[in-house]
Amino acid sequence: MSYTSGLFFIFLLTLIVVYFVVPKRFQWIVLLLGSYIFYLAANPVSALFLVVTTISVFYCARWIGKEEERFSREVSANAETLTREQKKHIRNKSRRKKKLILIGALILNFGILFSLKYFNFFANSTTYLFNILSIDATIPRLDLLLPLGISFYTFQSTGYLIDVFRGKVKPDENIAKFALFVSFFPQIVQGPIGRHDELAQQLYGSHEFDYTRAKFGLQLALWGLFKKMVIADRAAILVDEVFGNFAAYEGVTIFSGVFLYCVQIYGDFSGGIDISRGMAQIMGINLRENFKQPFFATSIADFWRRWHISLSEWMRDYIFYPLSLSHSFAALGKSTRRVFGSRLGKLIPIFLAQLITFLFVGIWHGANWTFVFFGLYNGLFIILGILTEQPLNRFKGRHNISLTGIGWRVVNVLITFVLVVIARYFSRAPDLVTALRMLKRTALTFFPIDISGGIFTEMGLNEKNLQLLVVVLLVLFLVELLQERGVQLREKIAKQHVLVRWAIYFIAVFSILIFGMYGINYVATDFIYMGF
Amino acid sequence: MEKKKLINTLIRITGFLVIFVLLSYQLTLVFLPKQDQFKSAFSRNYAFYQMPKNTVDVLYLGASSFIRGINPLIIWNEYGFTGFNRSGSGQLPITIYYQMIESIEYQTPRVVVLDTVSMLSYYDLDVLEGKLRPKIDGMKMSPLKIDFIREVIAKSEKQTMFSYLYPLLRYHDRWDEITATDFKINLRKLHNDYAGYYGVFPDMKEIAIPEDFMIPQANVAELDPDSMVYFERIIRFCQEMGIDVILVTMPRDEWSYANHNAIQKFAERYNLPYLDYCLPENFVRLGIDPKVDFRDGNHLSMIGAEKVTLDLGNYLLENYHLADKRSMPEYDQWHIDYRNFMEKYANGDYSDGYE
Amino acid sequence: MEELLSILEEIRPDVDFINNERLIDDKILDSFDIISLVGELASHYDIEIGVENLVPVNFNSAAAILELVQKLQESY
Repeated sequence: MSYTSGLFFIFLLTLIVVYFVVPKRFQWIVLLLGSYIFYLAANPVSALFLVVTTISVFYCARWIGKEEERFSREVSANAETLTREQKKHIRNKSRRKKKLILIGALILNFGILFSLKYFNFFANSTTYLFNILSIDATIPRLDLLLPLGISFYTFQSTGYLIDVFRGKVKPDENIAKFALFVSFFPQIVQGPIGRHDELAQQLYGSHEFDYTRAKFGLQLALWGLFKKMVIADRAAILVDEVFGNFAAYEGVTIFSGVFLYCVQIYGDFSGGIDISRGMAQIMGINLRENFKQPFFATSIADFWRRWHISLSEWMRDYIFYPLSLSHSFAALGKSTRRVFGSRLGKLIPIFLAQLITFLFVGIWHGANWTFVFFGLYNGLFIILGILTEQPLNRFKGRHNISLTGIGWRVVNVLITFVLVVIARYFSRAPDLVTALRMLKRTALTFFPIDISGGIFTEMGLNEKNLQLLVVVLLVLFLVELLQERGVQLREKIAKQHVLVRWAIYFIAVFSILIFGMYGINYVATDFIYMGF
Repeated sequence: MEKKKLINTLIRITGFLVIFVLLSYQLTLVFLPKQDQFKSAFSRNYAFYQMPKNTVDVLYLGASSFIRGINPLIIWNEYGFTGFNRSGSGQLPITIYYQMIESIEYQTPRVVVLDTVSMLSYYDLDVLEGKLRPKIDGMKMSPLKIDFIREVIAKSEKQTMFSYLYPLLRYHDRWDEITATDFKINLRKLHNDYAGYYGVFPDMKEIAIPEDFMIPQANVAELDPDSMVYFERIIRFCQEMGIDVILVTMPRDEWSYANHNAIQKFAERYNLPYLDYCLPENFVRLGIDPKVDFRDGNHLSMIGAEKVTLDLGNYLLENYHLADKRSMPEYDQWHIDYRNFMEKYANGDYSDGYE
Repeated sequence: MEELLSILEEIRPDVDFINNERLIDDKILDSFDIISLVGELASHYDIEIGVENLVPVNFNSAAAILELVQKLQESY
């Protein structure tokens, strides 16, 4: 069910009513049933994969928990008689066993994800390689269905399992409750990727209906719908035209098109997240923020602290930290420090870990070489940012430029913005060659020879729609600016006079109804009588 | 939540929803296209709903050749019985059917005159959504309309119940062409003054009747099975209600004897009279003149319409019990409407029958 | 504490570790600082700092870091 369909609206309304009507101890069951209904409506067969992940992670977590208990008992029973060395030895043995269980579960679940999502990419690339090496063999493509949300729920469940392994959370006791944690429908489509210690208690617990909280949730969802249907879907028209037909346009148009692609995915993704968080908020559940005004970032590193936050934090906690803190990387650090000196030497393993992490971030987005490039590009600029930090500070000091002044900040934002837009050539183009061609054309023909006809007319949006696009982009910018300055918009609105509040609500609702890009296009000539 | 706060909240929510409904209603009126198809459908339907109950004797149901060919006011003036022309340009069989059923909630006609032209073609409800939509939007909301919509949705891939219940969803992207006219015209206040007849227009064009037009032959054309389902439903419904049905083909150059045979066979199956005005003998009997009687090959001019209307009226009078109501005071409005029509005709006051 | 402070100052000479108690909350130390720090602490004190220890409460102040180090030195 799409978030913007009438059917989903009815589903949600019913669910919310039932949720607050049933006795508190059954509320989580309502969420579980609702989540499975939602999932089965999308594709019944792929629910099998959801179940496999649920069962495997649940039981492996319990197994690890039991092993931990057994280990504790063994040590405390013999606390007096064992030396520190002996205790360390028993602990390591126990840890190795737990690690095996963990690795088994990870291989199973990531194996499923890899096979379904990346098999064809792997097959195509290998076949291509064979061709280059003149080996006459092809790996066949498989027609595989990608289960809804598999990238999200796999990461959320494996994150939980790793947390159990690390002793950060206790294993869940109830498999039905755990099934809810894996399948919770507001998150399943596009995240945010939640953490068990933040989410589980909220999901399993009981919630009283709170009118103010419900109002705020509704407002958030409305804002999300606005971003999705009025902004993103409108920008999409121009984006499709630019990427589909870039050879017909000059550099500035192509660049603007890619910028609009950034607007499109931001509006669509953050809009969807707002709808998810808004829905959850109505029910009293707080999902973590996934976006924090990403286009105000002052560096690529900062960008990833503001964009798809739940993913970059997952990567940081479950790939970057483990890698960079591992024995092998520590050892690497020792040798690089010997070769490159103290400062650079200790940074190299971090850089390597960073690059690997962003490689994963890249391919998480999709099974294409463009995403590999996208990931490495981002990783590279983060590394560059670290390397240039000290020289830049010295430069600023020498020339008396304030480190925190607004001028410097704006420069950083603009540079970052350009870097982000360039990266997006790679996440939207169908393949590397096209992306590079588009970049080349952008650079070589940047300024149009003749702009008398305007640069965006004839691209699918008429003049009024282009004007509207500009207006809503300004609205978006304004809202984001206020949010960046810490203004709590929903609270602020709540303080206004009822007429002002209601005017805002009606404007919001009717803006979506009128300016949203949905439904059968109105084409006047369809209605003209043609003589029969 | 304590009781007082709960009531307070409920009042607020109700108030909000009420305002939302009112705003939606007004916005929908603005966003409904003011094109001819819409003005035509709305003005005719609303004129029909406003007629005094059980005063209409004959119902004319069909497509464009009917709406331009049959003027119930002329019949009233000449023969004294009433009728309403609920036809429409591009009327689909499904629309004809539902309008028939809907009519019974307002009137008890003695005879239903059915157009035969749409029996021969297949109508895809998505391809022709633009023709179907104004007719449905122009209907008053009722359980029957819901049934109508449900049947359309079942046969459609892109249309939704929501967009019919809340038409703003269908026309919202007209926002960039809204003009002052959209605020001035209220579709729901339009009223067709000619008992559904197309209107006062001077259009006239000489047409050429082909040499081999309507020469008798044995071929039988194929009636479209999907369309015929609706006509059969109408006929069965009328049989149950004790309403007589006759089939009529208006003069048109796109007709053939094979078509005639097909309709004739169908008529015999249900024991229905069939008046085919395309038959050469009828052309002769009525004095159909290709120079003045047509506005184009498929539609009659006002002059031609008068000829056919008078003949049809005469046929109805002779074969069915239709009382002469010309001296009944409760039917005064019909005299007024007829005089109004004649005045406009005389003055060349061209209009579609509504203001 | 002296030992710890000199390690901290080597990694971030611009930060006041003596008084600041919101190193993580105020985003004064970023993930790279943490990694470098953890690497130094692990090798200097011969302890193992696992990812599960990388929580704000353990790194928000020099005192908290010292506490973490001492706790890990005692464990097995």
